Amino acid sequence: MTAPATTAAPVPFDYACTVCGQPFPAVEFAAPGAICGCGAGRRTMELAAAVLHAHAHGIPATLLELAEDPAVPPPRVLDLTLDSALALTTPDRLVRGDPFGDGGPAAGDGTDAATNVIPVDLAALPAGDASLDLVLLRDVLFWVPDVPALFAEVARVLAYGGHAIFQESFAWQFPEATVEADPAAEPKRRPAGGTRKPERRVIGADVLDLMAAAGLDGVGYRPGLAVDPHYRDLLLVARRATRLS
Amino acid sequence: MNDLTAPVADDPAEPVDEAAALRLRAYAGQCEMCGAKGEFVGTSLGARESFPCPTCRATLRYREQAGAILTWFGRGRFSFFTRFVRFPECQNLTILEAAIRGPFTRYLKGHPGYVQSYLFDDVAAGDSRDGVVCQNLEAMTFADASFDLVITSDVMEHVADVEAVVAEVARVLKPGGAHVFSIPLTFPLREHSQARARLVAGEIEHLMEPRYHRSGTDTPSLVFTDFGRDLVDLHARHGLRATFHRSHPFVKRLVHSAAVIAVRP
Repeated sequence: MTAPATTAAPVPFDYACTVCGQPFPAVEFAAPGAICGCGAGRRTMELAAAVLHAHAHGIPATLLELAEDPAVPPPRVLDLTLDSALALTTPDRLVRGDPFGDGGPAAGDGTDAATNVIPVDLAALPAGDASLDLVLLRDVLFWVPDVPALFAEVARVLAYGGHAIFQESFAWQFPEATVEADPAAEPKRRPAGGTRKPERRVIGADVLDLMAAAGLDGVGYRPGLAVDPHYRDLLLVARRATRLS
Repeated sequence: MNDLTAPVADDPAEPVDEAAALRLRAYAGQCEMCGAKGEFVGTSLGARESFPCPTCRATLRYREQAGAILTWFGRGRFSFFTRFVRFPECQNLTILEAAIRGPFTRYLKGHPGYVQSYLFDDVAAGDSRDGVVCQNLEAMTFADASFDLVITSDVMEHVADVEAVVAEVARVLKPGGAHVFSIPLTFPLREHSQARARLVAGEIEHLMEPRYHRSGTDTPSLVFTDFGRDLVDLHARHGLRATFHRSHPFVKRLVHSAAVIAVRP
């Protein structure tokens, strides 16, 4: 006897939070603000994916797994994203800072960023030489006055083999070369914080060359590429080179 | 140091076959191989051999490799491999692929720096057949620092001496180069890789129930190793930094699927 042909429609997968692992419906991944019950939104989840990729060889699937993994030492983190994702999982070795300097901490991506945030000058990061495993930054490269100086400062505070993650936003494709913006243009809105910074440039892939000059091996990491037909996001993941060129 | 040739005492149970559970499950996205946008639907073949691209038919494991290549070599500028191939970022690479078929062989055909290899039984090492050079990955004839990118797809689990292959790959990679490979993985990863078989005086000794995959020439190929997270340590011993590169970190059932990228600093 022949089995009847199935006409069942495919069923969408649930998605899962890369901070805590809780599932949520796929359609919510495109929603702004918090998606998961832990407070993480899409940008938080992408940042968490980059942390797992860079710091833990991609072995744990969530920051919670990372925190509970005895084989991976808890990272020493300077988190300048105004996002509390890391505070959920690595509270003991985390310093959180606000690099925007325009009125105190702001809510980041739907998460609670109201506590334990110190003002930070990007030209003089509050950490000793080679003292950190992770430096996390969000939406800084378009406005920071001196990009090479920032990379040099980040390289200074990173331990050998440590990583910096720059989460940036792009209107369209990531260009090859950085374009300095029109000084007369309207300031660009900082998506997470609601404050404004002057848009000094649209960065391109040549920032990876600036990273290399500072001793940072950088790649463009795009964790949502396969699941978003209109993907425009990018995280620049830079590793403090163990052998400087 | 972990001994990849030794049987592991605390053998975890075989993973539950999820093929049935993945059938007709789907996600919407874009193909990292050809750029097609659409719905990727599970078949009855398990995750890695399933979810074919609706256009190019590349399965999940090949697309994961493409994603890893784009991350390391694409400078964040490319969304899919067939576009990347046309640009200097790829055209200037020297690439070794140990394969005689698969999507990369198609899309890299004609690439100026592309070398295909395969271990033929009846061709001398270093000689070619139909444009494919005969190479034993455990003892390659290539000069040191010959390649920017080495690609192997479901090959590493079939080599008898994994340590020798990793050492050889590290030798032929240029500084800044990478080996991007697929292997069967089960997450959470087992602590130690597990030898299923080993060569003793040229004879195969089975340490577990023999498992075979179909080779590039459609003959059965014995699985020698089930890999664990000590793959990172193995590569570190040869100066390579290995990372499990997840292309679907947000899709609940596919988060436990990854390509491996091993970079020579």
